[in-house]
Amino acid sequence: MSNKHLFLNSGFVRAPLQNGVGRYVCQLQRIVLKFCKTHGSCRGLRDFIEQDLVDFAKQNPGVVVYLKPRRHRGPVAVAEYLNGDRVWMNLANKTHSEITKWIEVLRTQQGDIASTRLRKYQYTDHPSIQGPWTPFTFKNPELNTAVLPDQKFGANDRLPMSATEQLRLMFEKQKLEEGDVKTAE
Amino acid sequence: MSVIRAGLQKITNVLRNGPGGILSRFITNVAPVERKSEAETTKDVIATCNKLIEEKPSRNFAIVHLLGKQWRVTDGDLLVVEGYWPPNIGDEIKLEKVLVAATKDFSLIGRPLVQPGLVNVTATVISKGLSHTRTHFKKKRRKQFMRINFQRAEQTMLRINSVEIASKINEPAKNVF
Amino acid sequence: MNKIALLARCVPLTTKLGQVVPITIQCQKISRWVAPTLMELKKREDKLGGKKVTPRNTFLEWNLEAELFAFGKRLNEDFDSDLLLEAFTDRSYVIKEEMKQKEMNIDIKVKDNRQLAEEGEKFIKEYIQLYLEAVLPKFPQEGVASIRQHLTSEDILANVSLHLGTKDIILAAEYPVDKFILANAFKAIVGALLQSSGEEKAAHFVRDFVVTQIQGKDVNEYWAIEDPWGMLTGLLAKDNTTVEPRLIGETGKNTLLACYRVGLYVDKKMISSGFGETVATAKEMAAREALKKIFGTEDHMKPINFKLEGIPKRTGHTRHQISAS
Repeated sequence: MSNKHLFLNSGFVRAPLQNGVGRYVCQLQRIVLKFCKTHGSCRGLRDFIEQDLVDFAKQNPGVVVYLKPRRHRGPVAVAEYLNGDRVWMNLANKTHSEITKWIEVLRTQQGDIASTRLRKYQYTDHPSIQGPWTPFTFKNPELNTAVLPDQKFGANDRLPMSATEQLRLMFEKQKLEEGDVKTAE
Repeated sequence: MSVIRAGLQKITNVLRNGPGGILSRFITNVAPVERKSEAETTKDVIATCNKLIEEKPSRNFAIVHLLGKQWRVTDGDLLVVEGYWPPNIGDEIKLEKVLVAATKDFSLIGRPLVQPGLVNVTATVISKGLSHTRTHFKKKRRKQFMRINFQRAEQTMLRINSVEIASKINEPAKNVF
Repeated sequence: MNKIALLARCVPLTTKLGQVVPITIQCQKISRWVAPTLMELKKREDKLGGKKVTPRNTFLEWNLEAELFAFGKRLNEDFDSDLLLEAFTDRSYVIKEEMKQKEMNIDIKVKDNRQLAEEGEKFIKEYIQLYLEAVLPKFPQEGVASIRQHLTSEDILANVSLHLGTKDIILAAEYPVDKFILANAFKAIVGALLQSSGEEKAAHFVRDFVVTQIQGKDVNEYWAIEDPWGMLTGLLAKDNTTVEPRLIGETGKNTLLACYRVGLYVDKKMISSGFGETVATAKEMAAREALKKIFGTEDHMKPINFKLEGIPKRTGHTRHQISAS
């Protein structure tokens, strides 16, 4: 028996607040970068803050960026999303470029999507547009008035063709062809 | 060029002109089969389809080819595609590889694609992130062989904004590059 | 009997094995005291009144000004910053502040969002009504009103408000804030937008965040038709036509899973059909289908347009009133 479900929830594709139908809204609302000014493992994050953070904040005015320096603690990024999700990410010993990529991931995702296993990769509200099939589709309307059992509807038409029948067909085909030849002359 | 398949019954134009009260709203496009020559039928079917395209009376759907997979999409659908894909969040894109496009009453089937510019499928990129961690665990019994790999795939979520048949059938498409 | 004998034979074997091979259990090493301790902590917490949620705005990393700025930018709108702050100030917060100020003998006026919310609510209702009339031209007035009622209900507005990120910014006496306060804040935001950027911007804001909530929903579900058959015959009587129901299919008669199909015919042409477990329900369903056709809201209806620009004009006179019939 597996207890995978205890750790990883499964879910379906959903988007918060019909995002993308009206206008698109970036779902990251704030990001907190926690770091130490002396700790070696924070070096990458410090580089990121020195070089890229101002540009990041300028390009994403909708994201509130908080910096939280603290002594002798590891580097951490906490992202908060509009749907209430909070993603905590350890950035210890990550290089500047790695951190740039991780922050980009935090910015572009719409919530804590890694915490659920997707069961389906598509979602639709309209599974059928030309109409679903029902047992009544393409049914002969004559059946409505027929009194069953009926010779016409009860006949077994699923039997394989008998040898006599086949021979008869072949004979008739041959006769037709002969007739064709005669008329062609 | 796309082939038009009009279902079992031929569609003919029985729509009355002008506002005809409530009864006019019940009129369907499906009329009983009549005996006509093949060329005439083709012409008729195409004309009816073109009329339907102009009126836009129903919801459309399309089958699009996207990153090696085929998706059946209609307005408001959500898709998640996996793997590296350059479009970024907020981008509005047009899906051009349309294999089938259809409305309630008829379907256009491409061989393999419907002609470019005929169908407009637009989508917005909503979210780009990484999937949950997938564990790849291999073990061979009695062979001292065991491997464990962890992997996360890039996931891009798309919202389909519209599926429209933009121009008429059998007419040169507008704005094709 | 056999089983017992087998077990008895195996007993010495298992005991022997146990002696030779020490039993190892593969599991995470969690000490035995962990569970009781956690349980005790939970018990004490519950005794003190459950888990306490700390308001986000009491955190060290909180800057209200930055949050308000980002709120506008995120939604691509230019808010007047004073108005936006006013929109986020709930009445309960103002009362609490006044009490505090009385104690300290100061008097600073704080404006609450009641007026903005009122303006916003009025605008939302009017605009949604006009918008629905424009996108559902054949749908009767009652149906439009019920969809509007659904869209402007507290639940929907609170959900929209929550997903725009107002939950943490709202200044209220309590935390987490309840639905009424969330919905009120959203109305006030629309009111603030109305004053700072004009009607058109506010209209597009409402369209993009409130009207889009009916995307993917069946619009017929918001309007409960009591007697579809009566309504249909009433409507058709105006055109001097009568509708004739016919049983056009049945399966599983006299069983629990009986299914009947009834078609409605006008002038020997089928207008709709419906299924049901009895003939009466099938007839009712067929009538519902026919009504959907009249109202232009079938399952395969053209998708509702969420991109209408500006405020739609009122067209009124072509729309028929069901209540009159």
